[in-house]
Amino acid sequence: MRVNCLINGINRNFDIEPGMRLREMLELNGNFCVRDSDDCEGFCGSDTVLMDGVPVYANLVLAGEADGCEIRTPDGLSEPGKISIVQQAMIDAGLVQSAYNAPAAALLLTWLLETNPNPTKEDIKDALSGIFIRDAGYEHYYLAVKLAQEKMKDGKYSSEIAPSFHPEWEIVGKPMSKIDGPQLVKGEKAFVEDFVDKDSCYMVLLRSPHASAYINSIDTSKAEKVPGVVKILTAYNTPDTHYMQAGQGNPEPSPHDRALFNFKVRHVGDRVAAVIAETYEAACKARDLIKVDYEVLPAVFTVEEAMAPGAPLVHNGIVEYRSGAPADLEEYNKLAGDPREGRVIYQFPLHADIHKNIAASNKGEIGDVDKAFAEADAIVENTYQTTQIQHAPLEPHVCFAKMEAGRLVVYASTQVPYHVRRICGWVTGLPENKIHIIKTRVGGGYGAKQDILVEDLTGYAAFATGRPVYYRNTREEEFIANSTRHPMRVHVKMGGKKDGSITAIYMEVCANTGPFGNHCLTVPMNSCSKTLPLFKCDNMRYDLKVYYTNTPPAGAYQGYGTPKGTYGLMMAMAELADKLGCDYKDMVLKNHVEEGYMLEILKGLGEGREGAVVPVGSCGLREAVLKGCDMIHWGKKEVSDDPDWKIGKGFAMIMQGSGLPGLDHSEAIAKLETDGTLILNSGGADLGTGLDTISAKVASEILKMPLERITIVSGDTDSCAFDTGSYASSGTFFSGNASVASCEKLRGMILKEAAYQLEESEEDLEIVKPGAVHSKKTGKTLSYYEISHTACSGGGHGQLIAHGTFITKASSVPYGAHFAQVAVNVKTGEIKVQKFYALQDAGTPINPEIALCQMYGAVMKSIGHSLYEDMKLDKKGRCLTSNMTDYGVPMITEAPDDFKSVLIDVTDKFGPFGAKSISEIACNGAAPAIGIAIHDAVGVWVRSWPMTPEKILRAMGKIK
Amino acid sequence: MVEKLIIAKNVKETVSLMKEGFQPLAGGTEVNRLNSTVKGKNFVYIGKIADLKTIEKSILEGVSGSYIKIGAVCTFQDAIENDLVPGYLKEACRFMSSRVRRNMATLCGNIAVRRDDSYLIPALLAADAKLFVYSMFGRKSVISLSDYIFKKEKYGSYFVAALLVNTETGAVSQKRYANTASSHGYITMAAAKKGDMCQVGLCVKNSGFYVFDGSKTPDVVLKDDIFGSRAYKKYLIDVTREDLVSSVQGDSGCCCDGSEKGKASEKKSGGAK
Ligand SMILES: Cc1cc2nc3c(=O)[nH]c(=O)nc-3n(C[C@H](O)[C@H](O)[C@H](O)COP(=O)(O)OP(=O)(O)OC[C@H]3O[C@@H](n4cnc5c(N)ncnc54)[C@H](O)[C@@H]3O)c2cc1C
Ligand code: FES
Repeated sequence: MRVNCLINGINRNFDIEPGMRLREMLELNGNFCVRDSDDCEGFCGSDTVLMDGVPVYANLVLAGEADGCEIRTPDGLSEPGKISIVQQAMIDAGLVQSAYNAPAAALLLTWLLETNPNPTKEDIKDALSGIFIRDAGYEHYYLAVKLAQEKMKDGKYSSEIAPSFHPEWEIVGKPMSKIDGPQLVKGEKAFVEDFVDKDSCYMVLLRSPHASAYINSIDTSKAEKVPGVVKILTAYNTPDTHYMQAGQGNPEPSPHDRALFNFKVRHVGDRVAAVIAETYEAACKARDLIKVDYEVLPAVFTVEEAMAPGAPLVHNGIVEYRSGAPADLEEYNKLAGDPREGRVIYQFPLHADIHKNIAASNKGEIGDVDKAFAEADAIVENTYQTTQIQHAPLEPHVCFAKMEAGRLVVYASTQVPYHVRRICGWVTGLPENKIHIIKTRVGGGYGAKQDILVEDLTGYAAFATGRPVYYRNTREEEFIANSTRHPMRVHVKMGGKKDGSITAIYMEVCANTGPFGNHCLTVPMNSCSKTLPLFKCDNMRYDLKVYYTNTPPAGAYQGYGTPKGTYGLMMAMAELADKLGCDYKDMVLKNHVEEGYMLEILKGLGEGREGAVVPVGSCGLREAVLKGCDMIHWGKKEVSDDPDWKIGKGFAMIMQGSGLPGLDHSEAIAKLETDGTLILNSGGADLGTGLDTISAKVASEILKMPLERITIVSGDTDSCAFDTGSYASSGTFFSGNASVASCEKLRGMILKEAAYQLEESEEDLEIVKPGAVHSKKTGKTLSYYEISHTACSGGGHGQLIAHGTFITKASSVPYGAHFAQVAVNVKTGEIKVQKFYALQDAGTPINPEIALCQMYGAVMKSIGHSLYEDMKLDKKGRCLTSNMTDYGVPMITEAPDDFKSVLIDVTDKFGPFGAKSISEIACNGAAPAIGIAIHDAVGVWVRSWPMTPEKILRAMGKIK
Repeated sequence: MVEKLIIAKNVKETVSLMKEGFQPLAGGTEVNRLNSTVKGKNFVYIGKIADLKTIEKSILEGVSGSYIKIGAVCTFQDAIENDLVPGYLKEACRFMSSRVRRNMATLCGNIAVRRDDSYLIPALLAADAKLFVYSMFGRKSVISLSDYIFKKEKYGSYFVAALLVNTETGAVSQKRYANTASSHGYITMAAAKKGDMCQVGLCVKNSGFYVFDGSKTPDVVLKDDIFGSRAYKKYLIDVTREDLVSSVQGDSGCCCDGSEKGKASEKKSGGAK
């Protein structure tokens, strides 16, 4: 059928199939920033366009309907090389982070201001009600509208965007546009899908319908005959190399318990076969023709089932150790079952026992816990449960790989390019020099892209076929075949004295890692190591066990295990305060750590090795608690004018880390180009959180040159040097510090070279703006251009290139306190978060506006986890909530009415320009703050998340 | 997968194509969404039929009272923005939380798809709404919404040209329970004052539709599912029925003059200052 329409003011004609969607037609037209993030579910809004001036979802419109219509897309909002006021306001407000939906949001705000130049808060909320934002939250959208209005009216902003820190610096600690903001908000090429070659093959996966089964045989004969099929990969024709998908430092504290394909499937959605074909349709058709003979096995889904005597075993193969093998290993391996079980290989002991489904364990204590419990005036002992939740990044896991000049080139949306390279090397057998990983912009990571879930297979497929291969998870696959937050059972026993001091804490953590052991030690360990050190308590014990089950896999998720540990510990503390008759705030103030307190508890909590006992460093915890209590009027009972609604308040102390001291490693290379500009090659992986902007800002501050003259190239394994990656809150602290190190070194080199060229002594020289060396003695000035040009002109010393490395034993811990005020309906159990205040000490916030949005985004995620999100499985392990609508991500409608993020001004000793990490920690406070507030409102403790109306009603005894 | 798409110029063409097995395509938010409940390959797009885009007052032959007629391609947002539309219906339209989807989805499409999580059907059942329909043979008639919903075998293939809502309906109060505002509702209930009594419209996800006299809850076959246990749903239905009935009997529900008291949404906010 023929369609004639106006797209961004240009008349276009198309001959289309009747079933073609408008988005597909726009993609053909080159409007690729009209995306799809939910497989046409009509939920996320990545496909929003204006049709005859009205916002619609282009995926839910058939292209034929557009005949005679005028269409506007996000990429039409600004001319090439220019940026619209609204787009710039979004960047300036800190909203353009992973930004998969930023272009669509810019279009909606533009439409709003065009049709309603003075929108109210409700109008803005309404305009954004159909777009899902996971990265930066919604709060600063109100600010962006205000900024745009001001710019339109007065040509400049008059509102404060974010507070500034450290007046002695010009760039660091000041709100300034994120350097990749324009590319992202304008919808330019940025993500993996934008770099796929036209001749690329498609890969689709056949996944297991069973939670546990042996594969007896796979018949691919019919599938192979489908025209266009290039290759079908299964366990029968791929290497038996065992590895794991967690992107962690090598050797990893996770067992190598899988191959590319296994002869035993261990969860619904597990890989069975991959079809690589010239078209997507051919790949799907062939997949449907593959015949698999399964021997279905009994399965386990919860830690309780997994630990039961005689429980079916998730792994029952041969166990190997790369180091530290136990003496009885040979005996142990005599119990191994069917050869199709595969192997489990430990890099070092994780105190595992696969014959009990235990993937890892750890325990330790300080002081005399039993004695301290005996001395307590009151003890509380309860179990707090958390369910399985998903990161739900807008951009699903996606990869494009090809062979080029004998090398494997992989375009990856990843937090860990160098770990991707290592694992692609393991599965293909290629050495690292033959692999090139290009990290594109990441359209949402949150830990999900710390795991190498698709690059291993896509890379192998390109290697095995010699063809370019493109793979993208469906939204359903994101739920069933990805990593998720480990469901946990956190048992806490806490004892205290009448004066409010805590005498002893015991914490037992049982985590469900699913079928594979990605991060199986480190995630649960964080439940203890990033929570117990909040307490000034001399008697603490922890015991953690991680179980294999047949649920969809678990792995890294922003906060690791900390949100769950914090939920258990802070709820228990509030329960103890209640039992002792103390005010919870007083109890918090009495028991929290302060700068200088020695954290003995850390000695057993290393990541699979001895932990370092360190004192508490910079710490804004007390200030956060006190300020937050003031803001929320702690102690004042609020009363609703509707007697069915009761109002309560709660808060929680929180902490995290800033990378892994002694394990993480970052490098950066600063190069002064021949015209005096700077290219900084950072090994760090910016996943949208502004790491590249941090590198640019520290370079600008140190070298006193304007940001426009600095380019950051990052996460490219060919041009940059090694970095462990962006996880465990390491980005700012480690990669940022490497950038600082390289720039400081370059500054030294510039001074030395200038001294040589000026024939003066270095001591008489200083670096001055805008990128020059000035002699305090002679008054002469050499620009960076002159210095670099001379250095590279035959007779000089060569290009000025400085290499900075950052490793440390120092631990810089961010602290904070999160406050919630909720209203609970005593008749229906409904709950509404009315107020949420997040107060955090992030050291120096290098990008304050981005930092605030990181906090809003993380809090929104954890409000989601606390109240709505849940991967519900049926009795056979099938996920019943594998789309956005049923799973329950929070949208703008769920955002608290009064929502504030506050940065506590603290300067850290070790961080770059005093910075610590910001975003992971912001996931930790919502669950306990809301749980405690629910109790304050209606007097019941809801000890499992999500804290649903049904659970509240049950706790209140209204339903049995 | 859509194989044939015809852009209809008028109702007559639509109805004759329906006779040939074509299905109407209105806002497309159900037809084109992932896991759509609508099967079929041939569609007739009705969005360009100008006659169906109007909201106007209407007197029905042989039926007492005055009605508002909402054409088949009027969207949820059109209804919200129109002064003639009763407040309770605007409130029900707002249950569809996404503004972008409200710009697309039609009221008649929502009725035609008969989803058991329908935003509108409970309120419209409670308020005794009617439909202006065409049979496949082109015969025009006015039928009750209740017949259209409960007699699917008879009316399943009819074209709904307009929704008719009585302007004289008494107070209507309603409530929708969903995990988040964007999730599917698992219980949506509305009560409307009907003389001395109160009529309740109810839709329960995975159980179906009910319309009943508000003095007692009918037997609803409930299931344990992702939305909650049977006990929870039973409890909610009882509590909500009592609440809504007493609310409309106290005459404090939504008005029918286009203004909105929005009782249910007011309550959701917790009422705290
Ligand atoms: C993310 C998402 C969530 C949703 N959640 C819900 C929900 O919770 N509850 C709910 O009720 N709906 C839900 N929907 C579905 C949909 O948005 C609404 O039901 C909407 O009102 C359908 O209207 P439409 O105009 O888009 O219908 P269309 O998609 O155009 O059509 C729907 C069906 O109705 C038929 N039809 C349309 N108009 C007529 C007519 N005039 N006469 C006869 N038949 C007609 C079509 O042939 C088709 O079978 C959801 C959709 C999405 C994308
Ligand atoms: S249908 Fe809108 S993003 Fe998929």
